[in-house]
Amino acid sequence: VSAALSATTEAFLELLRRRRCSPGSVIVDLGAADDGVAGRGPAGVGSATRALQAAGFATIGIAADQQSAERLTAVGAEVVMGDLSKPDDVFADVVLVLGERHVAAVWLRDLPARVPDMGALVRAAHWFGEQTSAPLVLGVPNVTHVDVATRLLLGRWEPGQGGVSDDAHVRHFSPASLRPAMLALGWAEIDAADVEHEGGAVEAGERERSGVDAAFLERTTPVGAELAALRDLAGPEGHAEYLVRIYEPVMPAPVDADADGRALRAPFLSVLVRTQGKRWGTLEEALLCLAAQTCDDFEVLVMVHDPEGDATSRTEGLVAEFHPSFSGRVRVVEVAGGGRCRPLNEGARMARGRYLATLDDDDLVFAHWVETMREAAEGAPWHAIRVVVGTQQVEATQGSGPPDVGYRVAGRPRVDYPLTFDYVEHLRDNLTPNNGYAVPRSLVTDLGQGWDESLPVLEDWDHLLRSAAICGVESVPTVAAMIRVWANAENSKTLHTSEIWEETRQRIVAQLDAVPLLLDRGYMSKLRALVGRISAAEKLEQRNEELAADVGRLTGELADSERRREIADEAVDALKTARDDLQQRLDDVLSSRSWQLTQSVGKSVGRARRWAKAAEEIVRDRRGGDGRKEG
Amino acid sequence: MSEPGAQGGIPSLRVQTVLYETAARDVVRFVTGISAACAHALGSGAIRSAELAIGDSSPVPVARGAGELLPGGEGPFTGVAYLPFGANLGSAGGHNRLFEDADTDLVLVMNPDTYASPHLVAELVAGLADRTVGIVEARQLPLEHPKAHDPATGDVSWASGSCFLVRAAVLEATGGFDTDLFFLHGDDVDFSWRARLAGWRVVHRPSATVFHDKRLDETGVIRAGARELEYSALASVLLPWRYSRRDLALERLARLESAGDELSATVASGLRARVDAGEMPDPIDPDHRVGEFVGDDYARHRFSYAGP
Repeated sequence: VSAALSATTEAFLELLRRRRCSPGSVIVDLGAADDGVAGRGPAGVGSATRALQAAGFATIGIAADQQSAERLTAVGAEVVMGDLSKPDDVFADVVLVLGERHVAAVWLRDLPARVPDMGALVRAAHWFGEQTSAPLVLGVPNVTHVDVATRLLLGRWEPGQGGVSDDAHVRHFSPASLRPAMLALGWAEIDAADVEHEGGAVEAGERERSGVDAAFLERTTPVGAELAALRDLAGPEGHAEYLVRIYEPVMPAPVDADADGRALRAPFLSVLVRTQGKRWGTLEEALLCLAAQTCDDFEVLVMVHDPEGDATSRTEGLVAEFHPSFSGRVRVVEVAGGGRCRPLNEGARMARGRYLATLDDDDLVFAHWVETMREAAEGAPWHAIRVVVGTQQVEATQGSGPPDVGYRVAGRPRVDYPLTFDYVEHLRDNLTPNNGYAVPRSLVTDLGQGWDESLPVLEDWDHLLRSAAICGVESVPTVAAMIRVWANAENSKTLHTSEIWEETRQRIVAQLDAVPLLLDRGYMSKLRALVGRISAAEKLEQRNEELAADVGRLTGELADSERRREIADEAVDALKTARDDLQQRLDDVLSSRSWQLTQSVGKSVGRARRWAKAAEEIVRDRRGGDGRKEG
Repeated sequence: MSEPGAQGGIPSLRVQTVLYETAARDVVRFVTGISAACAHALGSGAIRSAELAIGDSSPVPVARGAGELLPGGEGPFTGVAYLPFGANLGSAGGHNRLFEDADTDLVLVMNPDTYASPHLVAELVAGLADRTVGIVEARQLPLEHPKAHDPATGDVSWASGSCFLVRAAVLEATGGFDTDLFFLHGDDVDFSWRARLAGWRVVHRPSATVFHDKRLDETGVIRAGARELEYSALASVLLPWRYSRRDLALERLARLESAGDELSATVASGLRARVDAGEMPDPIDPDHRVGEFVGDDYARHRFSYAGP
């Protein structure tokens, strides 16, 4: 059995092991006759059948002709003669051959991609499943594999043999389409064991990496890493070449014909209000701000996180007091467990709006908050929308009930955050509070860009940076929301130490560092200007250091010169004194005895000579220091 | 009109607002908010009945009838009146016109760009439990009015006309707003001060919250429109004149005259003519019991929206 073929077979067997299927039971392997034939797989004829038998299962294969029947018999499979274009007849015959034996599974490897009427085949399997309680296992190539997507992006599609681009395939499968398609046919997916390397199209891609698409398929190049990261956004199956899924029979689900219509009728915005049911006053004020919006094209989900006592029912009561035109658009949802982001992700999952915005229960928004964001979203579809958030200082008060509301405003509102969004500025710090932006819901629910539940703080910063890298940001320089800054009450600033904040900041940076950073148009100029400013600042700093060194050196020299001048002055003074002394002695000579003369003159001359020598040295030193001037 | 405190019964309420070219959808929004607040107050027994009066000063009436402004029907109201005035009576004149038809114990005066919190009416009525209180002012969101109040008693210099509850007795004692002097601005300050001179207290009640659609510009300042500035300038001279601060009135008039902008010059010229013709109001409050002039404000303010 080749390594390549054994990957899907092994995945199939793994699913049976997880279901504790007992060896000795029967596997109905509808594609067994094709294994290893005419390029249907790289392994030899019957290799898969032998692998199943080696695992202890009996196998029944379907042969369309004598030649196939002989191949199957040769590897020890039981054979039902039949035409898979008439699957009802085939399964009826299988039931006869089976007798009383237990069926482990019906195994459909690759066949759904090749038969003209997959529906008939799977429906017939459903009938069989209901008769025998046999699950169905599908193994189909994944058309959304990142390499396939990359090659299509580059205009490459070369049908060959095996894998997704097998020229015998008439149908393609994606993880997203498989589940509802199978449900409509009466099969509910219960487990998966997808295969990353089966050796089909992806291997072909590998072989062609020396071609024009090499840089795009290679994961270590910026473009290859970016494409892989983008594909990862859509789900974890981007690297699965074969989707191997197990199903159990259920009632066929009716196709939701109105899904598109409902999507069109969805409100523009879902507002996720996060509360713990502890701040009733400010929660009511947040809801009041929402009720008073000039645009009512939104719904509200009040996410009551880990409530204590009757907090949830009390929240429901609070909502019910509003006019039905507002309360009818509000859902109260209780959320248990997880960190501060859990309610947001839960809310996103339940939301219907085309966009998502969040509010904490002490936040405020102005009357045009929704209207402003909707207008911006209409002008810039699929962008994240950012409005300006003001801040207002408030102080908690001791009041325990009306008319006191438990806090008082301590200052005028300020607009400290920048009026427009700049990704590079936001890399430095969080400059957009959570109530200052909205993102397309699909970004969260379909592309997995929710709020990181492992972050204790700064989750809005992380979320906006990731969202902005995908959607870009449409900025509206309008103050449309406000946050309260609590001067003396518990908040995220006081709940967490500065170490936690810094550690979280570093974690977010590391996570963003792990993938290429995609910047919107216009950032070349912004980055260039920024780098220019940094370069200019560095030059200024360098010049500043040089000047500081010059100042230090000159200050030293000045001090040295001053010291020398002082010595010279002292020497001159001493010489003058000596000269005066000599003069005095000379005057005395004229009027004194000779022995007095000899003694005094000798001492004065010696002293004068010493001073003169010192003065000469100083003058010599000075000349040396000022040599350039004299030269 | 009757005075509920004297009877001690559950009061009846009239809510009134005056429109001026207000979009019909904004009126509907206003009505939905106050409907819920009245329903809550009726349910909790704070009031025994509620009626709604909407006056319209617009050149072209905002609606053809009350029905257009109440898509959900009359709701908790026992009666709804929509009165196009056929002329712009201003805020003061419009409310006075509506007061004429009032026959309730209490009147709630509101701007149409407000949205009542569900507890607004019940909380305002609770503020009248003390019989010395004649007017209760609501707390505005998201931008609170900056004037200070006594945190223990709620006493405040004056009540903002964007949302206050007043006893019918106060309206009887004062005759409502002074439309001879005021059109838009300063009418509520003057009304509050005359109520206080008549012996009533004016209190601010933080738990009575109302959303007022005020917005900040990009510097964090509330920008006033030209008409607001005009009537604010007028009031800045008329109020000190009336409240026996002729010195301050003349100082402000001189300031307007030397301001150098067209709006100030126009206002100053009109005022100067009135001063020269002896047509300024007779001064009241000679002992300065209620008139309070702090800088350019009519109360001590906690902070200013005009600048840092």
